[in-house]
Amino acid sequence: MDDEELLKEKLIKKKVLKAKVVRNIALTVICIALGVIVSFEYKSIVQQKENEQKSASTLTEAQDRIIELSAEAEALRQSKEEAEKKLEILDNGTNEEKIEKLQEENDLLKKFAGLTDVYGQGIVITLNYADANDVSVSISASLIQSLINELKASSAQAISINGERVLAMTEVRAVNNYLAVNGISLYAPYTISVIGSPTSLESSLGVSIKPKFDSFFSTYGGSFEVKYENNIQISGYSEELVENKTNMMFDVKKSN
Amino acid sequence: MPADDRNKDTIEYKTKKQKIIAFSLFSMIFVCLGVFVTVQARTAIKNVEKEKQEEQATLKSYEDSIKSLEEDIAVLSGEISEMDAEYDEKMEQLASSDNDFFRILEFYNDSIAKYGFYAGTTDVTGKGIEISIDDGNPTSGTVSNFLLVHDTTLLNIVNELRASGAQAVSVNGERIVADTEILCVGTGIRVNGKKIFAPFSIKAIGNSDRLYSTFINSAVYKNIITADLLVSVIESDSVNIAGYTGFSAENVKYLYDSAEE
Repeated sequence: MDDEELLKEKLIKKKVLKAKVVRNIALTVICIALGVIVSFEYKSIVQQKENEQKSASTLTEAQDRIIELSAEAEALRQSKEEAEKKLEILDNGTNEEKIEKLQEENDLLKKFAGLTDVYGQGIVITLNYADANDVSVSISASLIQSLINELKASSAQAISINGERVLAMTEVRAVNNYLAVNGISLYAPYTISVIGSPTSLESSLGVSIKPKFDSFFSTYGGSFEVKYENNIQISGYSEELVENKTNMMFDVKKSN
Repeated sequence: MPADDRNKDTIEYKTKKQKIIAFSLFSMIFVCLGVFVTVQARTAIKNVEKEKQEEQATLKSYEDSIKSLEEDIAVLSGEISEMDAEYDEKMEQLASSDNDFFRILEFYNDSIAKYGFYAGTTDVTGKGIEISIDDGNPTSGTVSNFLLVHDTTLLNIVNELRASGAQAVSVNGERIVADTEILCVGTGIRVNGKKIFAPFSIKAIGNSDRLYSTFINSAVYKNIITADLLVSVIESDSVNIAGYTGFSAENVKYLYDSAEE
């Protein structure tokens, strides 16, 4: 190994080193460039999301407005039908026929309000408690509420509990060991009379409500009995009392 | 020396070869990256444009429906006031030409309005409360089933309102009448035969202080809070509740009048 050879080797090493440095610098530059590109990409994605949210909120606003306006239009269509009906009655037929039509509408609404004595086909449910003065009576209040809801869902058009007519705003409330219905204290056993389509009333009870009552009575003692009857009588609610139950609200049409 | 020369040549050759390989490798990587970045950017731009176009198209269709609905409402309002005016005019004529018959008609009109008011088919207003309730935020809870507003939740709220003296109640605009059901159907809840969805808005007219304090202190409200549902209650001097719109003879078809027997 002479000096010349050593020098040459050094030179080669230097060249290799230089190449390495160049390569490193190039890689660094590429990495920086990639980093910048990625961050730009990321930023634009974030911005895109923001834009999407913004336009989504304008879209939901528009949707809400459509829902609002549709409801308004629907209500107006209803009012138009009513106005047409009123005019039609006034314009057609003899005086007797006009009165007959109005009376018919009047009676339907009075019946729907639960103010007339009615009869019809349906079922009678009896809830017998092992101890009628037990707290279990009030525990069953929520079950009775579900039962009434289920009956309404399956064609019940008139319901009474121990003779108390169930109206739109009738509560079934647990108080100690009895129930309050229409503000009246009712003591067990309970007889729930229901007028409606017997077949659909029957099918609704079997699915969910009867098993619930069965398990309730197997815990607390008692029975859930259902009887089908062709002539169930249900009394109307008193008109005087219903006046007190509607004294805090005003008919929009009348107050205008 | 020739051996050294050969050695030197081999080293130089090797470095050259390495350089070429490195160069071509880098070039290929750069070309690939370049192509990749351009394609990416292009599709991104295309997607953004496409999305924007689609959004604008939807927004435009929404705006069109809003416009046509507003027109419908204006037309309907006009028609109704025309018919009402015509009716009033005819009744006035009748009052002077056939007063007895006019009085009978007035009697029935008043009576129909009264029973409609009792039955819940008319729009009513009064003091009361408004409850909003929505499914809970899934991130705040553990069991997602726990965070949904169920039919029983709504039924319990309505029963609580009834017990605290509510005189009129509606759920998402559906008036609670004598035969109203609140029942779970698939993803929604059936009220008056119509399917409604969360968020729910429950309005009640009555003694607003009593409605408010009873509801806030009820077991139903505590359960709603425990279940992490989103709920808010406000008292208001003017709660407007629409009448039941589906009334027909069908609603009382199983009921026979005992007086007519």
